[in-house]
Amino acid sequence: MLRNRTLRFKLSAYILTGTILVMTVLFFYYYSVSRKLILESARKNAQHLTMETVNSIENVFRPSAKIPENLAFVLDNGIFDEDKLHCLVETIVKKNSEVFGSTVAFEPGAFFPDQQRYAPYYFKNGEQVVESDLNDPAYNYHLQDWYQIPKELDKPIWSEPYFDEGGGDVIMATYSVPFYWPVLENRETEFRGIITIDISLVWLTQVFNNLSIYETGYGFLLSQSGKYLVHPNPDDIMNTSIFDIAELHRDQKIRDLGRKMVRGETGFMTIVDPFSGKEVFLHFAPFPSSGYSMGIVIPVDELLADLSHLNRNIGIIGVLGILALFGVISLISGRITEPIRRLSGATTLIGQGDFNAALPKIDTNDEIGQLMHSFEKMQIALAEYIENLKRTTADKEKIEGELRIAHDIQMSIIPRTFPPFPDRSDVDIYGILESAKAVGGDLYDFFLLDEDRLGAAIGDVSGKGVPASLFMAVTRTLLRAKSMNMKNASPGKIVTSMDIDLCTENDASMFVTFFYFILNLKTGELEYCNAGHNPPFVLDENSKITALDTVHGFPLGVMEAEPYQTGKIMIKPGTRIVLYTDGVTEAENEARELFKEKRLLDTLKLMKDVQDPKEITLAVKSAVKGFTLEAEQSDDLTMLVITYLGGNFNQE
Amino acid sequence: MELKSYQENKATVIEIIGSLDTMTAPEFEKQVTEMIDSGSNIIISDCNHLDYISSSGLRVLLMTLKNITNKGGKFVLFGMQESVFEVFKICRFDNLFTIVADKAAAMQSIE
Amino acid sequence: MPLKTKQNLLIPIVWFCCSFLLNAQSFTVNKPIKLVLHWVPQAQFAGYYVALEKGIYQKFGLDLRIITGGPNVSVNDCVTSGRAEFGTYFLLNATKLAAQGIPLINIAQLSRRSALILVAKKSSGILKPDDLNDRKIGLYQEEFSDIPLAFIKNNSLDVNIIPIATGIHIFLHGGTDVTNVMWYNEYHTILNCGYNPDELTTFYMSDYGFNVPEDGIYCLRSTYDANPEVCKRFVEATMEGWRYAFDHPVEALNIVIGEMKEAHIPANLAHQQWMLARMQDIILPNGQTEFTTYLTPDAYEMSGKILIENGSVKTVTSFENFYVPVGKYAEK
Repeated sequence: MLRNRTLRFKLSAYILTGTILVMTVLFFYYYSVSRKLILESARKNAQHLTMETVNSIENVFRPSAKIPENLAFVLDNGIFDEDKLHCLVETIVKKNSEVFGSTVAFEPGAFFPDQQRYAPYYFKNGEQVVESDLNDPAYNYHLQDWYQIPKELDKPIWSEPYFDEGGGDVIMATYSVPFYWPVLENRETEFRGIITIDISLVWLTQVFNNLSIYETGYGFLLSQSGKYLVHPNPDDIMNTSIFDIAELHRDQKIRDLGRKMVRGETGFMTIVDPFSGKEVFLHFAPFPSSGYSMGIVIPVDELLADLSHLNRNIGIIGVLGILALFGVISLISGRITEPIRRLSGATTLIGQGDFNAALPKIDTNDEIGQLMHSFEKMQIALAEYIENLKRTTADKEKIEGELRIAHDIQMSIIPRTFPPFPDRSDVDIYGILESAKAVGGDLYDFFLLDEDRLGAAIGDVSGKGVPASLFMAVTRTLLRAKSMNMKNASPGKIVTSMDIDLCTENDASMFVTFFYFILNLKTGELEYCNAGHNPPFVLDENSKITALDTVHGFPLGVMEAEPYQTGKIMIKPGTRIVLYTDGVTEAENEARELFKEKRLLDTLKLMKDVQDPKEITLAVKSAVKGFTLEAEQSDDLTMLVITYLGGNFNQE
Repeated sequence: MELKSYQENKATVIEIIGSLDTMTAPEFEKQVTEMIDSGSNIIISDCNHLDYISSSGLRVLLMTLKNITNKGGKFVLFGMQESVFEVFKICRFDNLFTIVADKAAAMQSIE
Repeated sequence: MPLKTKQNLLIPIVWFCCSFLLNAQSFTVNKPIKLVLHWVPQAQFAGYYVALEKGIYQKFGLDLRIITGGPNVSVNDCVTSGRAEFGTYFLLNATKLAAQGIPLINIAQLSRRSALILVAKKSSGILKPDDLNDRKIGLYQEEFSDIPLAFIKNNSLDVNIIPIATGIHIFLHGGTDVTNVMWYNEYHTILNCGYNPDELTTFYMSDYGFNVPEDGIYCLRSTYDANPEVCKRFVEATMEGWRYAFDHPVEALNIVIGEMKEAHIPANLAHQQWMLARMQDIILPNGQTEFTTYLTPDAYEMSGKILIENGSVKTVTSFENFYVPVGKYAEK
């Protein structure tokens, strides 16, 4: 998919993808670490803050608790008189600024034997300390929690907070301490009553309000039964408990939290704040002395607000960075591909034949520059090569032109007019010479030596092409010259004379197989000489086929040897003499099989009754062609057929 | 055409493999001329694998014969195939060249 | 002419007499009727507040006022003094008062089952009635202690009774081992002080043969005799108020909480929600959809039996003297 895209696209895709991946991994790592650090730090802060708050509040509760505890120690010793008792209680209220009111409430008959209820009570009213009592039967202090609970539990206890009767809006709590008088009869002690102090919890609210817990965090305070004493939502104070909230929001987690807090546990949890619906951190701890508990709530999103902000900024920078990177990649890839594209354009021009098309100029030394230099060299070499080729082709064409002329010249040496002696009826001749190359080494010739005598020859120069054709021309010239000069000589003598001339100055060791005969048309006497050539076939008047087998010597031009002999036979009219070269018998087909004498013989047998030399010649040619078919012609195809008709009737 | 050569006693044996024609004759001429120029002038030619010879081939053998003879050496052909021998016969080259049946005869003929 | 004159005179006379009679009836009807509830406003009385707020009493032709109850208000004093025509009582209490000679009649029994529970913490080791031996039981005074005491006697338990007056904190702190609560009220308070139901042992009095229903509507026999129609309309309007409250709990709670705020009572939505739901379980138990205000003779008999056995009374008045079926829901 990527393969066919532009370099710019590929570079962009790979680099940007890689970069984005790396950036994403980095980002997530840094984010998770930062987040963890922030939350951990916040948790520690919450813990410290909680502990500090608990300590500072305990520092009020505990000393306050000491006051009735101390009085209890005092009262444990025995009966006091009424005035002393009143004095003690009044002093407690007067001298302790945090104490709002105090009482010593006795068991029925414990102070005055006949009195069911005896509970002197002093309280502050503005600047004054007012004397009162709790003896109202309708109030029945013996059944009040502040009396009954410590009595039944035998231990001091802080009460559930309550609203002050007089003021209405002030949250109060009472610390009750049971005291015991010794029983005179024995060493045991007996419960006698409860000493209380009432303190206002307003300062508690103030402590909490002064807590600075980030911007949106807050603290809350629960009573022993889980009721909210301090809460950002005023409606819930002294009205709703944490369990009520859990029930209204159907949140089991909050109920569990409440249970933990009410049972005095310390802990930390992440929870969804039912009031805001947001995820918050919550650290909670108890007040050991009073049984109340507090929690510090920190919204997680505020903690992470800065981080989120940072994330957003990083995200923006990242995106811009990617875009910038993309821009840079585009630029670079453009710079790289520009010269390549120009080179490609120039190459196309060269390919279309403009070898001198200007290559773009590159002067860098990088890979592109080197490519450019290589290309320049190639262009120059190519141009030279093309020039050479043009020249060679021109030369070749010239040579070919000359060869065509040579061919024409050569062909003109060979008699090509048939029938050659139309006014003679005693002989008919037909011959073909198809050279394998433009010019060849085969030859045939025939001429009338005189009125009655016909000379005919066939020959095959060793080799092919121009050298053979030259040698062939020389041979043919010698034949004619000698034949004319040595008019009455036998073929043997003529051939010997030709050989002597050909052997001279023959460094190239060229030779020519040669067959020459002289036929007396009147008598039918045939004299012949074979210098190493294929024996011709003779089809006599009775259609019998024989070969003129005798070979008289080497081909001409080999070496000066003994003089050539002459053979002699008599032929009757109707005899056909078939001269051929090995271009016929050694014609090859594609299977590299040779035509061979046998096939020639077979073809001649078919023609044995045919007088027309042309027909015979063409039949053989056709047979050869039918044999070689598509195979390339390897040697000159040369044949000469002479039909002796006899009975010379001169036609004037 | 492939030409293999090796020394055997005082003769250089060349093995002609393939056909000796217009295309291959020049190569034969070149290699054998080199051999002769470098001193081997007793050459016996193994024609067992000579499948075909054309007039160009004959010419080049003739040249070789002349060359060696001029230098006073000996050139013998042996193991010639029937079809090739026919061509020699037609040209009467069987009288010109020394053609024997086998290598033993060739070695003998150069003694 | 003389006839006409007679007719002329007759028509106004007839008209005046009729209207006088009619007005006599409507005069009785248009007079404000007062209901006194036996405690402070809470969802226990949702039906009444809803019927008032939604104009149901008005629809029934009643101009109803509610006298808020509370610790300082005696329902019986209000009813017997005539300050209120109707009052809500617990059956047991009403039986006692009627036995003492007060001419009180029950005209509608709303509560169909007892909601009284004795509760203990499992962690204190109390799992069955026998475990209550030698333990401290906190009991409210007055009418709330009769049945628990009868339960204790019935199971031959030897317990230490601590009278309590204020609430469940003494129980939570461990000052008492067992305390008595109403299913619709203090039981939920205990839950929402952080105790899970599986941490508590509950003895429902209804499970131990003391299924005496509680809330009912009472009036003086004379009130009924004088205005049976008004009584009928009051009961039916009240039940329609309860029907609306059960069908529209959110709205009903809003009305109740509004009343509570007006009375300066701390109003806790979760608690009221529970209370209203339990009232539905009590007034329409077992998935019933139709109201019944019929007092069963068995319930009255059991109520009387308890009182006689604990010596509060010697005899109780007859069922017919005590209960009068009023309204369409009073069919058996």
